[in-house]
Amino acid sequence: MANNFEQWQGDWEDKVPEEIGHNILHQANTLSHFGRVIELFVPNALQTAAQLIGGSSPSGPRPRPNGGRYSPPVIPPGRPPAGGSGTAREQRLPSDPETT
Amino acid sequence: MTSSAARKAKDYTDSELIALYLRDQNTIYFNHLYQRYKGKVFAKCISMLADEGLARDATQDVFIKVLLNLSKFTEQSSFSTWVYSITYNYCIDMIRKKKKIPLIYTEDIGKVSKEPEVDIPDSVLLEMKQERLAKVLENLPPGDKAILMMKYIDDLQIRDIGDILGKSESAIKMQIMRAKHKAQSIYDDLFANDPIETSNT
Repeated sequence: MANNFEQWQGDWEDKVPEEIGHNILHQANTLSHFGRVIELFVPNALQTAAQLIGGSSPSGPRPRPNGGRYSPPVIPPGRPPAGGSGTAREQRLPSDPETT
Repeated sequence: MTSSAARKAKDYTDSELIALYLRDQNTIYFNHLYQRYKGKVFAKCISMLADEGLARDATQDVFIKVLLNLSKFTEQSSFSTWVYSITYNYCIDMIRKKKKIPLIYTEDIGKVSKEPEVDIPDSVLLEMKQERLAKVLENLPPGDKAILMMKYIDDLQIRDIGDILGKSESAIKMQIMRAKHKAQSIYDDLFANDPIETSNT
């Protein structure tokens, strides 16, 4: 059996205004929809932003020529290879202050 | 249809409804929690705030708080205790802000010169006529009222009341004793001419 405290409080328990429930459920629905929108669009928006500022696409790295293996640089004909037969002095230009 | 799917939402426990809401984000499950606790929460708000308009706003805010913090509910206490703790703390904060009164507990008055030596038996309060009890509670500081409500309506343990109000068990025991003394002295002041009427008479 309810004591006098419970009876005192119980008088109000059945008098909850209906509008409170409507307001709360409306806000709950709004939060739920907002959460879904964020879940759906934020990852795509971040991906687009990353691509705009020069990030790589999420489909993977760009394909490398030659299957990603090392290939030596192509040297044009008539040009001596770097670090080849010539000395440092021979390679300096005439305007170099050391040569004048 | 499986037996679990055939169960109606009203048959689910609070914990199951919370888990389902967090999984599906379907407000049907939250609505069932609201239906279960709306009466108690509204009654507590109106008991604490003594104003129907404020109680309406408070009830709404309490349930929105519950909704937003549902994922933080750890089941260290029952869901009802958790909801009531949000309700009491919200109402005490609201009273502090709106009424701008620092007087929340009897001990805040500053007139408590000595500790109460003798505890008043529960029967003194529990046998008061309901109308008289309502008058006494109206005149109690809100913190004392909350503590008595937690003890005599929600049937909470001292430890749970301490957790809700962020105080030690010994502090809560002392506050309950002071609140009962305060209630007794208010009763004596209000009904000095007819002090013997109780709910049994």
